[in-house]
Formats: sequence, structure tokens, C-alpha cells
Amino acid sequence: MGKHKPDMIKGTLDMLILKVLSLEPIHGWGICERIQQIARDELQVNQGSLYSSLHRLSREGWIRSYWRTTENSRRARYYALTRAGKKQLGIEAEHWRRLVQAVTRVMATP
Amino acid sequence: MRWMTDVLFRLRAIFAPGKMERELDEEVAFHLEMETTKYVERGMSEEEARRQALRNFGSVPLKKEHIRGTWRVGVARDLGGDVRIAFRQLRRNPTFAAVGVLTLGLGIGATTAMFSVVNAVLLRPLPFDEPDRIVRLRTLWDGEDRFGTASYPDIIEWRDRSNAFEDVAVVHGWRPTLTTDHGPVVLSGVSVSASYFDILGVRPALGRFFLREEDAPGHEPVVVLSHALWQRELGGDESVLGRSVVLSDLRDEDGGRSYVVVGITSADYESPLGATVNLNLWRSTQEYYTRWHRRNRALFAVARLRPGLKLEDAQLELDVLTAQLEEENPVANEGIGVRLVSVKEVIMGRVRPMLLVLFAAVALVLLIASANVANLLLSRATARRREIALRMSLGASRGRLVAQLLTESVVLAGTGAVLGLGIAAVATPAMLGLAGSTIPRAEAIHVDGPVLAFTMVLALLTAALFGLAPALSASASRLATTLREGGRGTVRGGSGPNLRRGLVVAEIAMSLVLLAGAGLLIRSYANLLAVPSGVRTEDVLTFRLSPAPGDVPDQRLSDYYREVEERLRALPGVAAVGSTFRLPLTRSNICTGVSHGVGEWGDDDDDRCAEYRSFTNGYPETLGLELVRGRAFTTADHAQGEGVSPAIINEAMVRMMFPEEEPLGRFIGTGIGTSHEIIGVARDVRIHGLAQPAVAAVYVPHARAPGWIQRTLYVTIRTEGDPLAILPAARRAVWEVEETVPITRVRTMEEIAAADVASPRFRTFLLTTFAFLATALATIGVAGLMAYTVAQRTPEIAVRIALGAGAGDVVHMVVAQALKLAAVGIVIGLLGAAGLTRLLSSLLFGVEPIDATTFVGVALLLGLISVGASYLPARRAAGIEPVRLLNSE
Repeated sequence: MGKHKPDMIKGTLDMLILKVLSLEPIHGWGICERIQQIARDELQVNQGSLYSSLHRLSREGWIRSYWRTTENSRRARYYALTRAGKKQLGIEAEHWRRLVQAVTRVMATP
Repeated sequence: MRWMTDVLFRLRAIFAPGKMERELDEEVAFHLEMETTKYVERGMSEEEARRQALRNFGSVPLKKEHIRGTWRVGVARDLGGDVRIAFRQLRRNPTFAAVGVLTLGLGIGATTAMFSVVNAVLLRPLPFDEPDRIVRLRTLWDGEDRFGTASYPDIIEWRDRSNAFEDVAVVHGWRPTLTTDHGPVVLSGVSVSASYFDILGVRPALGRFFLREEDAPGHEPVVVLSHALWQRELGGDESVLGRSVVLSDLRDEDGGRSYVVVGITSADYESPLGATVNLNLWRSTQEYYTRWHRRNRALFAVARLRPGLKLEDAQLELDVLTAQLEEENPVANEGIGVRLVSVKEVIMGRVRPMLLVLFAAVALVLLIASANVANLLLSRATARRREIALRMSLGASRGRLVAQLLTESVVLAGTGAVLGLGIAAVATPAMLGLAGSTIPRAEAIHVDGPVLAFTMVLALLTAALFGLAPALSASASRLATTLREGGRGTVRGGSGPNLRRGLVVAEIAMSLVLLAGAGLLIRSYANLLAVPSGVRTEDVLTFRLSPAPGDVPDQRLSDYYREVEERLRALPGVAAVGSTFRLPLTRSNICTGVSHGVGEWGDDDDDRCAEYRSFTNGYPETLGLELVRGRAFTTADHAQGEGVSPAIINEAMVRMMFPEEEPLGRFIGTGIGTSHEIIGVARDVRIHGLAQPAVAAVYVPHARAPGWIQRTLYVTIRTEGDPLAILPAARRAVWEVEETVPITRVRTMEEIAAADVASPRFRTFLLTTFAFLATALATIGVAGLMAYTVAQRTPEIAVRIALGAGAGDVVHMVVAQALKLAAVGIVIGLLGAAGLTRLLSSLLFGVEPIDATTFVGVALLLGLISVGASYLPARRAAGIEPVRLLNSE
């Protein structure tokens, strides 16, 4: 995540995007729906920010994009995880796990 | 690999922003459509669904702007930020900035100034068509290139009997007088063959150049004017074509001849013969020289080589031909050859070695300046280690940091370059003023487009040169150690100290080379000035009179000059007046063959020649002509007469013609057609300037010289005060005798003497200035390095002092270290100088390129300077208080 200021929300969204794409390549709207689906609508994704993240992640080289026709014969930009992105997903997942652990421990103290 | 996607992204953002924009639109549209469809499927109306989708997305323009924000090509943003940071750094460290900018300003400024000269003189293309094909034909006398002028029959045969040339043109000097509203004006011009301008391949600004038929004798005289003359005297009036101007010269009996103006040269025309005088007129020769004798070698010849023929091959062809001509004309062409010189060589050849040497010297100065700034940056990098380490730990990549540090270097170099341009703009005219007319093509020397471009490139290269090493070394990641140490600059070892020492040693070596060169040039110049000229140069005014036959007919010439001299002698403040055919120290040569005896030319008389000089009664007293044997001319000798006249020869002539015999009383004949009895021997005078050896000379009374020699006279006036003060009165006196005779070439002998040594003076001054600059910079470098070393070794020094070392010991230690470094630099410099000074050999006078005295002298000088430079840091080292220091460890 190098040069940009670490932003908790943005960082988490990045990780979620990478996770969704690790399952299968999909277009932007699809990612949005998938996150909301899996999180059972508990997470409200800021849709505009989603695309900012997608473009940024492309630039970082963790996902790549290509244009394809959907099943409904519409043209859409699809995103897919790159190898570097897969690695990054692992790193961020690990960070998240440790963060959650630490917070849980703190909150658990009587 | 990740950075590659970034680069591709940036490229796409730069080159195809429209496409990216369209794709963004499409992507957002798709999303909104899908959202809308989702709500429609849930039962909303199309419109409501759309509104809901838009609400979910947020303000479309705003969101699109955010997305575009991720595209923003960081290069510009990063660069802008870096530049701002760099300027902030400079502002926060004014001393560092000042020293750096000043150092670079000097280096870049000097280099730019020299480049502007080199660019205008050497690099700027000549205005001719294919200048490599144009050559000058110079006569060789026994293989020696002395005068270069050729005879008409020779030129014709070189043209007709060899296959080397497309065409050959003849050029001869012409100095006509133009009568204008403000009196008679003498102009510089040439008579040329009709093919002259075709050979050069130049085009007129107006009108045309000469036609073949205009070369025929008897044709109506035509003339071409220079652009400058046309603008100056005729106001650039385009109707001048077809009009006539009246020009008179020494050949014209009456008021002069009427020439029809047929064309104007272009503003950028240059003379292929390297004339430094601005030529104003060209006329067709009408072949007045066709009857000249084969041994009358007074013409210049310019030719265009046959297409495809190389100069060397043409030269070979001509060599074969001249050998043949020698056989066919054993008397006239004995030892005569021809040398083809390219026009580029003619114009620039004389100054090219000097300019290249000076440019190389200034490049060394720039290198030294860069080394100093590099050392400066290295010091600063050490001080900023903590800051850099911190930034790297926060995620800055090494590449990013190096880029930022390099930007700082570029900003520093850029500011230095701006200062340098200012310095160059001031220094260049000053330099030209010093050079006088020794530099050809000088009118185009100024800070212009190519020079600016050069300066920018130079600034970038310099920044890379001094900035790269410090940037790389500063960002070398040893974060943990740096942060743990608390970042105090006491990191020992590493590339730092060795790099610095290496830079300083290099500086000293380069300074030594420059000092050696300067030393050699200074000695040459001193040797030159020590040559006795043989004439008096203080307080003498000179000017030239050449009355036309229409103003003063032949019979009246002697009376005219006598009257002029009498009137001048009568003026207050005048000590003596005399006149001569040509002035000494002016390189004019009228070398004529001399023979033993009157009128008989023996076989071995041909390759000897002596300068022919005539003078009036008062000349020896005015300019000085020391007699060593025999007697001077009497008043009777100066009277007009026929037949054999008395002559005084100089020592060089005695060596040439009478090495074993007594010259007094002997008779000689000259190629001009006169015969003389030798009555005296005079001491040598440097007729051709101080740098040339004394040539043989024959002096005769002016009244006894041939008519065409009598017609031109340089009047010399020795004054009691400032020679120029009597000029107005002198003018009046001359014009009282005959008011239509123009007075030209007004100069004092001091000016003439100065012009004679102008070129050596120029290059000596410049190289010495560069050497001085270099040494000053190197001294700063040494002082800086010693200060740094002392700072590094402070703990060690503190211990030593604590253990009882005295101030003297500490100083000794530091100075010894400086001296060791200097010694290495000096040795390397001496080796370099030994190899490089031979490049100066054409510029030296009386001293060899490898001169022990000079080399030892500058080595000692530099050694002393290094000691001096290290003294102050040494003293400060001696003042270290050990207790305080050891406590803070």
C-alpha cells in the first residue's frame, strides 16, 4: 500500500474487492452486488468509491481489466486478480486477522 | 514488475485520455443500467428505479472526478511537488544554496561563454554552397607556405592543365575612394573574376552577380556592393540597381570611373579568404592582370573542386602539374608549388587550436566546480540521513527518493545555470573586447538559441554528474543502523570518505594541468614581449595618405609629401615627422627578389626575397632605425633622381646575401626593377611582428622608389604628449596642402604594437583566468574536505589532545594529511600535463611544452595552496576541547 496514506475504510474495501475477485473475475457492478450479497447487506458499499478503488488497484497492478460482453450481450469492463494481487490479498488478509485478534483481546479484558 | 503497470497506465493517461474518458462513461453507464434493472425487477417503475440507482451511486460527476483523481499522472504532480520541496530546501539552507549556486554559476557561465564563441566561429555553417568543395590556392616557395599569392600565368595553367577544378577565380585587392557628401571615403574592396560568386555558390540579396562578358577588357565597369554598405550609405534603397557610382583609385588618371551597380550581396556573406576587414565592393577584374609577369605573384586564387574529387587527390594532381611547370619554366617557377587549403581552414584554421584549448580548459573548470558541489551534497546527505531513513521506513521507495534528490540537484543546477547565463552575457562581450579582431566571424557571437539550449543540457548533465552519487549513497538502505544510532553523522567507512578524497584529488590534478598550461602561456607571452621590436612605439601617431593621380600627379608627389611633412613639423607638440611605404609590426609584405649586381639575375637569386621599404628624411628620427655600419641617407640622397640609388640593408639581409663578404659598396637589383648601392647596415626591425623572425629588408629613399610605391605613404609623427591630441591639427595641415586626399588608417604605434600581440595576450589572459578559477575552486574543495575529515576524526583528535598532544601536533597531523592528498593529485596532474601540454605547442613561443621550471613551479604553488587551505580546519581541530567532547559521546 506504499505511497498512499493508509485509510482504514479504503483499505478494507480494497481487501474485499481482492477477495471477491479471487473467486472469479467480474465487472464492477457485479463486485458491488457480490459484496453486499455475502455480507448480507450489512455492508453498504459506497459505489462511487468502489470504482475509485478498482482503478487504483489496477494501477497498482493487483488487478487487471478487460472489456467483455456479458450474457445479456452488453459490453462491460471486467476485472480479474493478478498474481501479485493474489499475494497482496494474502498479506492484507493476514494483517486484518491480526488486527481483529488484537482488538478482540483488548475488548475482552474485563 | 508492479511499476510497469504504473508506467503503462501513465502512458495511456498521457496519450489517450479521450479513450479513457469514454471507457469511464461506458463503465458508469453500465453500472447505472444494471442497478436500474435490479430495482425494476423488484417492481419499481423505470423512472423510480433510475432515481434510486443514481441515489445509490452518488453524484455522478463528483464520483467520476474521484475516479479521474486516481488517474492523475503522478509524474507531473510528483515533479511539481519535488521541485517545490527542492526550492524549500534551498531556502532553508541559504549558505549551502549560495555556495552551490555560485560555484555552478561560475562553472556553467564560463563554459557557456566559451561555447558561444566556439559556436559562432567554429560550428556555425559557412554561407557557401558545399563549403568543403571550395579551396584557396596558395603558392609554396620550396615547400614553404609564406605568402600564398600567385601569379596569373600560374593560376591559368593550374586551372586549364589539371582536372581538379570546376572553376577558378582570381581575387585582387582594391581600395577605391568614394566621394560622398562628407568627403572622400576610402573603401575596402576586391577585384574578382566573374566566376567568383558562382564558385562560392552564394546568392545576392538584390540584383545579380557578374556575367562572363563583364570580365572582358573594355566592357562597361560594373560593381557589386555589400549589404552593409548599401544600408549605410544608400539607405537600403532598392532603386540603386542600375545606377552608377564614381569610384577612383590609384590607377585612374582623372576623377575616377563610373561603375554601374548590378547587385548587392546578402547580409550573411563572408569572405572565403578570411578577411577581417569588412569588404564593401566587388568589381569585375576585366583581366587587367593578364599581362602580368609569371614572377609577379600578387593574386589570390579561389576554386571549386570538381564534384566527387577529394582534396587530397586534387592536391596530388596539382603536385604533378607544378613539377611539370617547374621543368618548363626553370627560372620563374623554380621551387614553386601550390597548396590547396579548404575555405574552412582558411577562415577558422588559425584560431581553432586556441579556441579548442580554451574550451577544454573551461570544461575542466566545470568539472572541478561539479566535484565541489558533489562534495557539498555528500555532506548534506550525511546530515539528512535520519530524515531520509524515516521516509523510507514510511514507505517511500528508493527510486522515489533518488528521483527527489536528483530533482534537488537539477533545481540547484538550474539556478546555477540562470546565474551562469547572466555571467556569460556579461563575460562574452568583455572577452570579445579583449580579443580585438583576432577572432574571425566574431560578429555572430552572442548568447542566442543554440547557446541557451547548450546551457540547459549542460545544467542537466552537471546535475546528473554531481547529484547521482550523493543521491544513491544517501538513499542506501541501512535504516536500522541509522535509526538506532540516533542518526548522528559519525558513521565511519562506507563510500563517503573515499569518494570525497577521490574528488578532491581529481580537482587538484585538473587544476595542476590548467596551471601548467597557463604558466607556459605566460612565459611565452613574456618571451614575446621581450623581443626588441627595433622601433619606437610610444607617442607616435600614424596615418596613411594615398593621393590619386588626379589630385597629385606623379611629378608633384615628392613635393607634396615634403610640404605635408613640413607643415606637420611646424605644429606645436610635434617632435619629429617622417614617412614610410609600410609600417613595421604590421605584417604587410612586399617581398621582392634581390640579385647580386645590377640587372643580372643568377641562378641562385631566385628564392631569396627581401622586404622593400622606402622612407623619407625624417623617418629614422621618428620611428627609429639604428645604424650599425656605414652611413644614413643624406638630404641629397632623398632628392629625386634616376639610376642606381643608395640603399640601407638590415642585418638579416646581410646574413642572407653577404654572409662572408663586406656588403658596403656592393650593388643589388630588385624584382621591382630598381638597382641600389649599399651604403649602410641597420639593426633588424620586426617588420612582420614580434613573433616572426626578422626578415631581410632593403631601405631606400622614398623619392627614389618607383612611382607606384611613392604614391602611398604612412606618415609617422612623434609627439611630445598624447599622440592623438594633435590629430585634428594634423588633419588640417594635410588638407591645407591638398584637400581631396583622404586620411586613412589613423592609429598610434602603441595600438599597432598591441594589435600585434593581441592574439597571444587574449589566450594567455583567458587561460590564466580559467586556471585561477580552477585553483580557487580546488582550494575550497581541499578546505571543505579537511573540515569534514576533522569532524570525522574529532573523537580521535580529542583523545590525542587528552593524552597530551599539543596544538602544533594536531595542526601538523591535519596539514600532513592534506599534503598527502595534494601530492597524489599533483603527481597525477603532472602526468596529465606532460601528456596534454603538447596540444599547446602551436601557441608557445620560446618555451617547450614540457618545461621543467614551469611544471615544478606550479607543483610547488599548488602544494603551498593546499597547505594553506588546510590550515584553518587544522587550527580548529587543535582547538577541540577533549573533555566536552568525550562527555557527549
